[in-house]
Amino acid sequence: MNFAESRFWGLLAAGMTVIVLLRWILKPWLASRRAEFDKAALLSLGLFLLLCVSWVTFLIFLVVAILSYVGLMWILRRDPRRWHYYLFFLIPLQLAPLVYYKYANFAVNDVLGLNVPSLHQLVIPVGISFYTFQKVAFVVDTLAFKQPLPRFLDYLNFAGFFPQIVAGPIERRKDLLPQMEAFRFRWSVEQMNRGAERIALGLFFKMCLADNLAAFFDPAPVGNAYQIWLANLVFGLRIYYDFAGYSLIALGLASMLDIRLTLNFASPYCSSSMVEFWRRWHITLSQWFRDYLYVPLGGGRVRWWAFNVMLVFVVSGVWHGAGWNFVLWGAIHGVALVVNRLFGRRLKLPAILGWLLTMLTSFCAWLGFYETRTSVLMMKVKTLLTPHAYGRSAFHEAVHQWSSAQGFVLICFLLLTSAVLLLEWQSIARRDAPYYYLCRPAVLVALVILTVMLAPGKSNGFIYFAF
Amino acid sequence: MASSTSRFKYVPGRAVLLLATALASWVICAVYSVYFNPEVVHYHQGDAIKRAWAAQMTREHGSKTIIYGGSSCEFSVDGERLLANYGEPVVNDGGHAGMGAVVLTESALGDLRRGDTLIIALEPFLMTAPFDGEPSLGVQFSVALHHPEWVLHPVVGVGDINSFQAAMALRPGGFHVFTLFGKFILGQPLYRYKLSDYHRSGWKQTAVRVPQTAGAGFGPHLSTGARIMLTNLSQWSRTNGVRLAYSLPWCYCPPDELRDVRHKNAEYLAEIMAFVPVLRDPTLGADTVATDFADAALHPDEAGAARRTDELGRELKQWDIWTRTELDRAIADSLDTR
Repeated sequence: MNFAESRFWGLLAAGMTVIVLLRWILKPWLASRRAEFDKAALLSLGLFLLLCVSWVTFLIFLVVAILSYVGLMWILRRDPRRWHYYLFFLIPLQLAPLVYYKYANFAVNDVLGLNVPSLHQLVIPVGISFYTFQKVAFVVDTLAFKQPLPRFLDYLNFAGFFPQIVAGPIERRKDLLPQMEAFRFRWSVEQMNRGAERIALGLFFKMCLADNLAAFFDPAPVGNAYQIWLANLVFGLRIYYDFAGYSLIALGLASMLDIRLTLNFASPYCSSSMVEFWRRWHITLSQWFRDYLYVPLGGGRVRWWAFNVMLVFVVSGVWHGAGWNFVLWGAIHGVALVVNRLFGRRLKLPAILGWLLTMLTSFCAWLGFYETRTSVLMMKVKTLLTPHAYGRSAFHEAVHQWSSAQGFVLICFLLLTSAVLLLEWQSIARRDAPYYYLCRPAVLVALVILTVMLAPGKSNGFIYFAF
Repeated sequence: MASSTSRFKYVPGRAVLLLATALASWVICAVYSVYFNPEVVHYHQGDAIKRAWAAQMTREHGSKTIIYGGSSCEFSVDGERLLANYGEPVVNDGGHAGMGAVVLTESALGDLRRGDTLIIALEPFLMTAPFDGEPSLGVQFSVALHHPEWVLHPVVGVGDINSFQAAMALRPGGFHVFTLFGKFILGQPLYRYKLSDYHRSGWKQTAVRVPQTAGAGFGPHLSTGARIMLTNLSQWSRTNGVRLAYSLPWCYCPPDELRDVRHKNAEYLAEIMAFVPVLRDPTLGADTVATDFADAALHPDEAGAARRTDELGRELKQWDIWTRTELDRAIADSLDTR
């Protein structure tokens, strides 16, 4: 579901029109069954939209959803003392399609060195990482907290809620399921307004900032440190506004349906430590790893906590993609968090220095995220670590590369992005409410005008669709 | 009063305000893009010059030749010189490559009559890049000329977009807005070319000179869109009694890269030849005289354009087209000597 494409909004409008018409036509017969109708209609709309994205992902979604539900139903009839044993069977079954599509090529061809050409052509079904993790969390939560099995319709709506199925937020049973059980199509002025604000902000992030910055991302330079840093900066800003934009639109759509989703980003580039950064970046995934991997491993209360942190971040890296570059990205963040935890409290750096170090680390790590060619990645890392690569000639070369209209436009977009980041920082510093000032009516009106005026003619797909 | 208040309490005011802002912004952007965008205005005016010359050629000579492509075509072919030296009535219908291959083609088809000749001189980078929807400038140009069908239902049967996408393309975009802003604060002209750069036949020249050091790159193979377009164009020309051929634009090429570039160009032409005849230009589109180019590697100056025009005049006069054997030999020769 590409929220930046007119096709999505056309299909959504068509689906909603059909629902409204059916509701009106069937009004006399629906009197006592309107809630059931609404839930069935929401599910149909979600499945229809998912099918329009890709029939492969639609099928995998349905198979894993049914498998999870039936497996859970079977386990719940067994002795509760043995539930955790059954989990060792059910969770791998849930993860099987994800592992096959995402990691088979890497494991078989890259790690084991076997040459299986057919695996090279595997295309990762859109959203598989997200809905698989949500279903795993659902199974674990149901058993861990001894929750009853919900009705199948409610469960499917929980697992397949269209605004978040493809790229999150990854919701938990306790947050989303009760809302699905009480779901009705309601016209709430306040929710419509709130939803519209978030959609407008999300579209600005995606179409005005992320899509325009994408045009300036140049991963080609290998030997010039300044150009690599610029690529890291542009990529880091782009991926944030791309994914945060998607998440805000998802929140806005859900809000219009009177459903509250978890805020997935909370101005991470305003963080003054790596710990804070991970409290603000891809919040629902961080919470997933915390609750289903870090805590079961012993969390931060055991002697081997540093190993736990490293493991969680390496796994988080691999979740994003099968490749050594993602391992490196996760490892950099893992090391940064361990260092942060070891020395953060003792050193008590001034906030501005903490912010600078955090940005330096996170933007440096983005290299491991976008550079998938291992040999090139190593060369770039070497360049970044070589003092000679920061010489005057390298600087002049970088300046020459951007001393054109292209460079001027990039500067304009970086200034615009800085202004947005400033408002994000003020929202946190003064109100402790992410995006507060960006959601003020006058600011939003300006952002809408900028979106219409500045969004490029062609939209890029959302980066996180690839994960 | 009370009833109107209660009626409005169901209206999500902030949502409506944002939607209205978006709509109003779009209307202003669309009006700007079609009527005030300096590029669109320039090419709109240029189009009038080309149409007038085409009408004159039809009137005075019965049948004519239209050559079209991106700006490389506009800068290369001097129609008046062709008429004076070779007796060939030729209209230069080149435009801005940023309009895209489909709009440039559709624009050229409008002036053709049975018995005319159409020479495709689209740049290789336009033919090897994917045709994924029409570029904004192409949409804006077609709407400005009151021909939205060029992008909604193109005769060439590829690259079409729906009305909503076309409407969304009627916006300037960030690059345009910020470069315009930069030119404005620097006191530069809002578009680098002016109406007086046009000659009567649609040929364009500029006084700006930029030293050339490198040529223009392009992909290895014709895109799927280009193949469909050439197939349909070939069919259309047969149906409408129009003679059709392709002529490779000239591009500056550093002398040490000459053989490689010619080899690549010959392979490209071999792909084109599967769909339309290709005019037999022995230079294979590579020109090593850097001083014969104006402000870009595909924009010859007057001297460069004179050489290109004379070569084209000879080809048209003799209807000299490559045979497959000759082109294969050219490819093999460039391989041998590399």
